[in-house]
Amino acid sequence: MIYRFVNVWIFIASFSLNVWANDLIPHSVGVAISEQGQAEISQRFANLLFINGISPNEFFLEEVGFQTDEGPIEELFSDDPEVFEIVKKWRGFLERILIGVRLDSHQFSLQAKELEAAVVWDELSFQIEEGPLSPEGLPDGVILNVFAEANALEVAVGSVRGSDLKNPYLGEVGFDKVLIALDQQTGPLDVRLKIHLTGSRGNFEVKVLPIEWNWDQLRLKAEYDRPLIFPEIQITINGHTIDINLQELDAIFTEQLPGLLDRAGVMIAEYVEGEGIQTLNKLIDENLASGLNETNQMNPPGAPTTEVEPFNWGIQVSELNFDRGNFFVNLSGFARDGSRVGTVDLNRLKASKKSFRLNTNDMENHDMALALNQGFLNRVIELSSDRGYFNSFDLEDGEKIKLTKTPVFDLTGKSAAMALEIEYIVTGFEAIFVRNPIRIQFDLLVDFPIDNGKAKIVAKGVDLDSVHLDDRYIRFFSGKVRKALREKIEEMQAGLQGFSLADELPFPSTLFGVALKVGKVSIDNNGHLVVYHDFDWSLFD
Amino acid sequence: MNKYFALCFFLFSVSAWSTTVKKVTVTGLEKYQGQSISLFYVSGKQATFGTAGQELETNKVLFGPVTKVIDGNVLTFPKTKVPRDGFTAFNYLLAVVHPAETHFLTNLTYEGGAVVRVPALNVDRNIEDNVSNREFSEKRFKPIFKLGNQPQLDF
Repeated sequence: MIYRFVNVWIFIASFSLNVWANDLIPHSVGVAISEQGQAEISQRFANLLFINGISPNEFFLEEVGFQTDEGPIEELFSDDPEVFEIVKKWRGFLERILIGVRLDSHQFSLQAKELEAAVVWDELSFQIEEGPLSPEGLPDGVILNVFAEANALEVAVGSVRGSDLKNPYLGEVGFDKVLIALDQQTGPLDVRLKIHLTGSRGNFEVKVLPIEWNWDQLRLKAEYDRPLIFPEIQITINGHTIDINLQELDAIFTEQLPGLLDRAGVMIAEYVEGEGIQTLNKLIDENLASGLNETNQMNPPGAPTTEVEPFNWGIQVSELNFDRGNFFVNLSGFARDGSRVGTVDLNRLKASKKSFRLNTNDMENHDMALALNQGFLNRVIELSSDRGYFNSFDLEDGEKIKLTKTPVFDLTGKSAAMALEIEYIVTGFEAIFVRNPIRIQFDLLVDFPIDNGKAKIVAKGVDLDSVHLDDRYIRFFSGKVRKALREKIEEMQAGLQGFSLADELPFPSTLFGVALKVGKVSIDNNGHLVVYHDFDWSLFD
Repeated sequence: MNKYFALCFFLFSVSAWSTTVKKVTVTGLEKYQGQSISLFYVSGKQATFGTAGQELETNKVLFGPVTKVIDGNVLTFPKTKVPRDGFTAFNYLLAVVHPAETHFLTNLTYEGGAVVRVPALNVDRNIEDNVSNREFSEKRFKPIFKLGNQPQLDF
């Protein structure tokens, strides 16, 4: 279960960057979860586990069994040489004096059917804190503390049967309807599990640290359907029959039961604290060594309908840390049309080389911030443009604007802008001064207002200082042509202002299955679009 | 009845070994006439960052598929008992419309630098894994705690 929990939280790729390099964009996505957001997730931790496929309260197995290897009975005590020799000696003696029984070959089997565990959590939460200091004095990753308190923990087994497969005449020993439960008078089970997450530059480790719990203070109690399942044994001496008193045997077993449960409790503790944690860490290392890369699909922005082939996109965690109460994760990513691996020109995409910068004031009022590198945004737009979804757009006054280059966002200036190149045919007398059709480059200033809980992209107007017409489109009087062009664009400003370029940002709308409500949109001058969200837990209500 | 005995009762109830899902109605199928639809009862999870158009990743198929040919706008699927399995939570209904008679359920993943599809865990191996069976027209999923008394999935 812990492995599945870690699996949900951490996506680690041990692929070298070369495997992804062709179309990987560093710092594509950034996530910061505020203290407020962490507290909310913590409160809903059990819901979150369930929505991601992990059952936090119950466990069920239809059947489970164990078998020993075949061998003489003393092999069961091979760890204890003294007992081994004693049992071997007695086996030899009994084999000599008893007829009708073989003691030289056994294969013990234990089968449990309909095994179910149920737990009632008083608390199931987590808290993130800075990792321990490295030798350089810097925090090394983060520690994820998982807190669990259970006041009721029970294991029910429909039937338990032990037998010797090499000596079937011995029948079976066992129990029906076994119930093992935490003795609530000894207190709730308190568990604190620490998971150390470290990572930078794409190299990650997840390590489950020794468990801290109060298991040794707790007692178990058990019940089962009486009587005990036991073979029928009769001993005959000179015609006189001696039977086993099964009820007394049962009573003796019941007297011994607390001691057996204590011993079982110690064995469980030894396993969990030792081999259990080691096995878990080994399992994590083995499964994460081959990489955990998340790949999914998105509807292409600008597509005429939703019934088009979606884009594939993937993410890879590149860094995580904890700063001023906020938990940060930076991810590299790619976006592809189909399975074809493209190449990306990070300069053309204006991909930011830095991770996003959080505005702590904005962060205080929201659960999380999700940042998209303008390079990643431009990559998605590039794919849509290659499909022809951004060939033109219609203004409200009916004028159609033909785009001749893929639009490119630039969020690093004073205002967010989209670099456009449009084709225009000059008509009338003025046409003789130009070589039609002309191509005009300019920056369209954009804004990201929130409408009905969604962040849109709307035009604010043209940055007139950015308007450019190359000399090759001008025949005569370049000064007059450029002045006329500026005037023309000024006329277009009214039609452009408020024009909706997209009804919704191509932005994630859920995190681990939890819906996100858009709170605020801002620009980070490193070149990231940052959207502040609050979690919407109504799915679970 | 204290909590201990309440749990005893729960653990030995007839339905303890499975989760019952009432009959499911699927609507909006008119445009898929002639194709088939398969209903899967799964343990799944959405993408870490869910975007419009995302697929549900199936952790494990717990029951299904139950497959029907689409011959109208609405189809119903019978009441079903979904077996329980370890710590795996049965949490989604997944409906897949597909052109072939049967559907071999896959997940998107990333292997060796490419985006590929791999079989979902515990997929029905009686269904042949071929290109035709892997194809699908549309998928819809719904978390089980949003099903209510009259479970419905809409296309």
